[in-house]
Order: sequence, then C-alpha cells, then structure tokens
Amino acid sequence: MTAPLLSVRDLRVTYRSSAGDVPGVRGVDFELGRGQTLGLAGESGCGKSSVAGALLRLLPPATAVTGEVLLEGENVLALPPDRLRAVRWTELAIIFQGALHTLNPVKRVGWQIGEAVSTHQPSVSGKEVQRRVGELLEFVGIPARRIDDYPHQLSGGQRQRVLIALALACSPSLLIADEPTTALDVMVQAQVLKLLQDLQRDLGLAMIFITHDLSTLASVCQRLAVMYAGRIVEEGPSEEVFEAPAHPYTAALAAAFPVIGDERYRMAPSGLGGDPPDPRVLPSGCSFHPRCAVAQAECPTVDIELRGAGSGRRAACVRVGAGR
Amino acid sequence: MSFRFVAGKVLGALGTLAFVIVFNFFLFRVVEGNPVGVLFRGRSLTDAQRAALKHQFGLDGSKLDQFWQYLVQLAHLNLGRSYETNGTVFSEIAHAAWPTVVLVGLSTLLSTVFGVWMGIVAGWRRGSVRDHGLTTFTMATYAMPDFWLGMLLLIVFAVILGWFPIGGMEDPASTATGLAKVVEQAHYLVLPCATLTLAYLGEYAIVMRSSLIDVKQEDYLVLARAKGLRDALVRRRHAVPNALLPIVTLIAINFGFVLSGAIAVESIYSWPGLGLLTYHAIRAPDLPMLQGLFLVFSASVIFFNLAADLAYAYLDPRVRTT
Amino acid sequence: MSAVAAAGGARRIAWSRRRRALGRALRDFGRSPSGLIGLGILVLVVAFALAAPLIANHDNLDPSKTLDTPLWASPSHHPPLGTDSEGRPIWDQLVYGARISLLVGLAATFISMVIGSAVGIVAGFYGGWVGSVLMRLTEWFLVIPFLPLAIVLAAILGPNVRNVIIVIGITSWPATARVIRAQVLSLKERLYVERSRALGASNRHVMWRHIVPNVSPLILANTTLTVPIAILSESTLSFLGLGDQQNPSWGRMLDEAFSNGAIGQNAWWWYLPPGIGIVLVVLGFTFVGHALEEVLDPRLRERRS
Repeated sequence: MTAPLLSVRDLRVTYRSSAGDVPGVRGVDFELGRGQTLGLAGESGCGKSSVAGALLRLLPPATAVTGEVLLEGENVLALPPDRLRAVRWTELAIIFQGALHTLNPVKRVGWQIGEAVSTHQPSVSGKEVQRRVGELLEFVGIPARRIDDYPHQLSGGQRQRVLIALALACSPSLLIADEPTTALDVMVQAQVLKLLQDLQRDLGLAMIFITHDLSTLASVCQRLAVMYAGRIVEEGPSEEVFEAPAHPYTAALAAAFPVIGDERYRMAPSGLGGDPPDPRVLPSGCSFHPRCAVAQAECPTVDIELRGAGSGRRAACVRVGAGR
Repeated sequence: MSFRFVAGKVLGALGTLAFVIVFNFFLFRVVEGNPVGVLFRGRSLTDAQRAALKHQFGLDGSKLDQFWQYLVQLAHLNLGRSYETNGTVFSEIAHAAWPTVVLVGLSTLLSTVFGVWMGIVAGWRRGSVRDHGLTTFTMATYAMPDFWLGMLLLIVFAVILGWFPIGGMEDPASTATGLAKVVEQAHYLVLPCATLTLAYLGEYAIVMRSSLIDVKQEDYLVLARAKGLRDALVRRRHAVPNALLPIVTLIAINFGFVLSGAIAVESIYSWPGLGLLTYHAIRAPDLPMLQGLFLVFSASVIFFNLAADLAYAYLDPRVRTT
Repeated sequence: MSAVAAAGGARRIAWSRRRRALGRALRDFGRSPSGLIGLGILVLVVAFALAAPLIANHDNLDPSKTLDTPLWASPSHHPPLGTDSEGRPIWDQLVYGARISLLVGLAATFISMVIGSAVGIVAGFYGGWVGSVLMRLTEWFLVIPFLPLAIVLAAILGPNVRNVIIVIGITSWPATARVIRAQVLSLKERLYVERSRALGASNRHVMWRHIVPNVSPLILANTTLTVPIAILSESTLSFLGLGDQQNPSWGRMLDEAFSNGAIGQNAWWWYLPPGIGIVLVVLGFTFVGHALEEVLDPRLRERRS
C-alpha cells in the first residue's frame, strides 16, 4: 500500500493566553490518501478550524502545536522556515471562508492570485502569470475580464470562487476547504459545492472539507470525521457514519440537519440540549457525557479513546466495540 | 471616481469657504459694537478722524452695504491696510507665505515619513520594548506645548551646543547667493523644522501603530502567509497599504494644527513666515492683518482638506470604484 | 403589585444596577497603573493650586508693588525657585499660575462639553434637517483652524481670563459634538429604544431615560481628554500675549521668560518649571482620560488583549 499523502499523528494545539493555556485540539489522528476526500464536522469551537490552521503552521505565534503532520513524508511541524514557505500552497492549499476581508481589499483579485504563482515560480514572466490567472478564473466559472476587479466588486459567491481559483494556483495535491459555503445563500452554496466536487474529481485532488453541516459532507466526502471538544469522536465512511452513527454526538449532529423529503426526519425530535463545553473547563471522563442521552455509569470517570467500531470505522464511545 | 463625486467635494469646500468669508465679516463688524474703537484701541482719536476711519473701513453704510463692499474688496484681493506697516495686508501676507510653506511642508513630510515608520516598527511587534518606547515618546511630545518644545531645542542646540543659529532665516551679514544661499537658509531651517516635526511625529506614529494592529488581525494576512510569503513581504505588500489609509485622513486633520503650531514655532525662531507675522500682529494689535491672516489660514486648510479627501478617494479602491 | 409600585421597583432595580456598575468601573480603574498615576498627579496639582494662599505670597505678584528682591536670582540665591527679570519670585508665579491654568482648562472644557454634547445629542437624536444643519455647522467649525480663530476672537474681545475661557470653549465644541452624535446614532439603533417607542414613550422620555445615561460615560471620558487640550490652548494663547495681563499663568510666564531673554541669561528656573507644570497636568488628565475610556467602553478593553 502506498504511503498516505497526509498523515496526522497526535496533533495537539494549545492556545496560550495571560489567563492560562486553553486546549483547542487534544490529540487528533487521521490519514488521507491521494485523491481521497475527508469531511471534518463539528460545532463551533470543537477545534476543526484549528486543525486546518495547524497543518500549515498558520496559527498565531502564541499557540503551541505538537505532534506530527506528515505531508508527502515531510513533517510540516518540524520544517525550517524556507522549506515551510516552499511547501505552503504548492503541496497544500486552503480555501478559506469567502468573507469580504479574506482577500486584501486594496489589491485586485487577479494580482492576489498572481502573487501565489510568482512567489513560487519567480522566473515566470508577468504576461504568463496573467494568462494563467485568467485560465484559473475561467476554470472556476468567473469571466477572465474580472481579473482587475477588487474584492468588494464581486458577489459573495464570486469571491468564494476566486478563493478556489487562488487555492489551485500552484497545483497542490491537497486542498483544505474551511467552511467554504457557510456564508453563502443556499442556491450559491449548491453551485460552489458542485464546483468543488467537479474539481476534485477532474483534478484528482485530495480534499479535507470542514463544516458544521453534516448532511453536506455525507454527499461530498468519502470519509467523515466528527470532532467534539478538540478530539475526533467518530470516523468512518461517510454514508455509514451518517446513516448509522456509532457515537451519540454524531447521531445528534446528523439529526440536527434534516434532509428534506426524508421520512425519518418528519416527526423525530432533534436538536441537542446544552452548549459545547468551555475548553478551559472540560467535563471529567468522556467530555460529551453531560449532554449524552445514553450516558453510562462509567462515562463521567473514564475518558474513552477511539476504538474500532466495524470495518474502517472508529468511535470514542464506551458502548462501541468490545463490551457492547 | 465619478465627476459627481469630485464636484460634490469641491462644492462642499467652496461652501465652507463661503461660510468662513461670511463669518469673518461678522467677526469684525458685528461682534464688537465699536469696531473702530477696537481697531484703534489705546489711541485717542478726534471725532473727525473717527468719522474718516469709519468711512475708510466702510462702516458708515448699512450692514448690507458693508457686506457687499467687503465682498467686492475680497474679490480684488484687497484685505485692507495693515495698521502697523505701510503695506497692504495682502502684500505682507504674500511676502511671508513662502517661508511658512517651506517650513510646514517639510515638517509635515518628515513627521509623516518618520511617524509612519515608527508606527510600523511599534505596531508590528506589539508590546515590545520599541512599542513602549514609542508610546512614552509620544506622550511626552504631546504633553509639551510646541512653543516650549521649541524653546528647549533652541536652548540645547543653539545656545548650549551652538550648532545652529538662534533665529531668523538667514545671516544678515552674509553675501551668499544661489545655492550657497539656499544652504545657509537650510541651516536656519533645521531647528524650527525639527520642532514642528517632533511636535506631530508622535501622533502619526500612534495612528499608524493602531491602524497596523487592527490590520494585523485581518484574515487576508493569514491568507498571504498561507501562500508562502515571507513575513517582510506580508507586512509590506498587504498590511502596510491597508494600514496607511487612515494616515491620509490624519494628514488632512492635522494640517490645521500644524499651521497653528507654525505660529508658535515661527515666533520662537523668528522665522519670517505667516506665523511671525501673526505674532507681531497680535502684539500691535493689528486687526486688519489678523483678519487677513485668519482668512488665509482658513482657506489653506479648506483646500488642503479637499485635496486630501480626493487623494483618499483615489487611494482607497473601495471608494474609487463606486 | 400595583403599577406604581412596580414602576418604583423597576427604578430601584435600575439604580442598584447602576451602583453596581459604578463599583465595577471604579475597581477596573483601580487596576490601571497609568490611570492611577494620572490621578495621583492631578490630586497633587490641584492640592498645589488650592493651597496657593498658604504656600505662596500673592502680594509679590502685584505689578504696582516694587520689591527689594534681587533680579534674575537663581534658586540658590532666592529659594525656592529664584526670581525673574523684575525680581518677582518664580515660586509665587508658579503656584498662582497653576490656578489660572487649571481654572481656564476646566471652565473652557465645561463650556465646550455643554455645547458639544447638546449639539451632538440633538443632532443625533432628532436627525432630519435639524441634524443635517447642526452637523454642517459642526463640520464648518471643525475645518477652521483653531488658533487663528482663537487669536482673532481674543484680539477682538480683549485679553482677560473670562474671554480666554469663552474663546477656547466656543472653538473646541465641534470635536465633542461629532463624537457624541456618532454614539447617539448607534444608540438609536439599539432595540430598547425601539421597544420604548413601541410602548408609546415620548421623544423626551427616550432621550432622557435612555440616550443620556448611556452617552454620559462617553461624555465623561471625552471631557477628561478635552481638558488637556484646553490647557495647552490656554498656554499657547497666553504665550502669544492674548491671555490675562493681570494674573500670571504658566503660558504667560513662558512668554515673559522668552521675551525678557531668560534663554540668554540661562535662567532655567524661569523657563523650565512652568513648562514642566503644563506637561504634568496634561499627562495627568490624559492618563486618567484614557483609563476612563478603557473602563467605560468594553469594546476597547477587548481590543487590548
């Protein structure tokens, strides 16, 4: 079996502040092969965006990141600065959420895309850079003549497409899409999602898709990982995880995003009481137990690791695997 | 930038100028019931002299007549006659304008350049020693009246160290011409310019610093870094251009204050510009001169603000392309 | 419970909430080192000024009296701060000068704040053409450079303390008006104003019960930051010869020092103390003002971290 494109081992992210250390990610492991798609789901604050930021060491300086991030065999977390800068965007690129200030408001969008190209290929002529930028824009469905527009002159959907074009500029093998559709209208969401799916398929890209909307992931990604309080609590093939969740949190999350037309959602109560835990004061034992409908006696005391829950599936619940 | 936008701004400026002109009229004629008495305070006049002066200043017509006469005079750039010297207010002002333009222009340029640079240094690494040093420096210069700062610099650099002359714009005994003359005048310019620069440097630095701190939190910097750019490039290409925008506005706001500061500084250094002219006019008191100066100062600020407004609109693409 | 009793209860709750907020604000202020330093400076200076009759001799300042003190005496020859070119002790001038500077600073600021707040609140609250006219007026005055205007006004009205206060007061209100109006505009958007209106509250009620209490902290912080500007303005006007000719102020002391050649005579005891005094008072009010701003405006506090 060929080595996976991305291998994350025991990733931990701790935010340092004057009020003490706050754990954002508490030991995350996963792997991604070439051309594979992984969805990363969870509520706000579960750590999924921190994972994305950590992969390219983009988190603020006052953050401690430990563990291993093996990208094409190199540990990103241990790279010297110039090698890190070379790896960024050429092997792994991030599609950020397309809010207005994700792009530099005083520079033309064509220039911003072109900057990615010329940073990594300084020998390419200005004209050639322009040509490639035009190509990229067309590729994502934006007419090339908008190359000289400023970000505020584009609609939300167009800005998101620009960010996708930008992410593709250096032909990376892995894309991370961090909430790419969250701020968009539903119709535009569908268009952007389709664009991402087509690109992934046509270019054979590996993709990590981060969102809080589980139902989107189920159709777009091959595998699915659900995060809660800084850890992955369930992972497996997306259809299986969505249809038959092993972890109670996954079940609640799935129920919170009903699929319109699906009979099962008609009268079933959904929604999860309570709030995600404050990372500074995590519950003892299994961090989900205060909100869990099927908590057992040992849940408040025993912190459960991910364990096998069927072929290619893992879940961090005491009811799963041995002892079920 | 549409024609409508520019026309709107220009009209606004002209409106403000019109207000100032009217206000100026009222200041003199209406505020004080006895303008001739105010003008010639402390000098005894016969009734005949008083009547003659009233006629000369057009004070014997109705208010409307006076206003019309005032406007006509203005249109002819007739700002009256200085009581102290024998010249017209206009010629005195015209003569003294250039030294002030040089002083204010150069010090604005220097405060902006150095202030922005210091602000970047302090704001990029917040909380560092440089940052605290900058805050302390700014507090100190802000709290000092600019004329006192001028006095201190004069004492240290001209009196104690003797590096620079005590006052004036040129050596009365020198016969230098051409380039040598310019160099000589530049030598006299150093201290007044340094005073005015230091007085406003801190403000530019503080604004640039806080602007940069705001910008540092923006997402597009993360994106720039993710693309693989070096820190220096992220700062230079992405952070600074955005952080600079408020500085343009600040230059405009400050211009009025710098001009006021020039009055005090020129007095200290006897720099023969509009400020020194104002100082002498106050001592006299030479009211026509003060009025003329007030008009000139106000008009300069109005038009400078207009220029800055338009410059900002041009520099910020979000304003330019609407 | 009757409606009256309920209303009384509600008011009591509102007041106890305000008292608690005040306590919190004071505690937060106490945590700011610069704020405390500023407060300390101000207390010292005010004490200094108030104690003038006890620690200084007013007769020495009377221009008609001739003194038998040495001229240009250094502090070692004539403690505590030497004498000026006419033999008048610097110490007495400094102490009484503190009074003038503080008086003008505070009084002018008061006038400026009253006008500025009134204009700002009315313009922001009523909007419409009243607001537009007021803001136009404010913009016009903002553009006019302060010092030339103050000079012309002071020259016309005549140089004395009362006129200086008036001049500074009526030339500095625009900045305040603009800030206050912006705050009022944002407050107007707040829900509770809408709800109050929906319940049928009159404009005056909304303005006094909701807008003014919420704008007051901003006014307070703004006032504290306007005082140093007024003091600097007074010192500049006095330096130029437009201040009160009878009483000493720090600005006037510096004017006399400069005009009488204190620089050439190396009379540092004449030109240093008044300047240092101005710097201290300005720093004091500025530190306190900034600390107040941070305490009263929660948004600023968040940005600090």
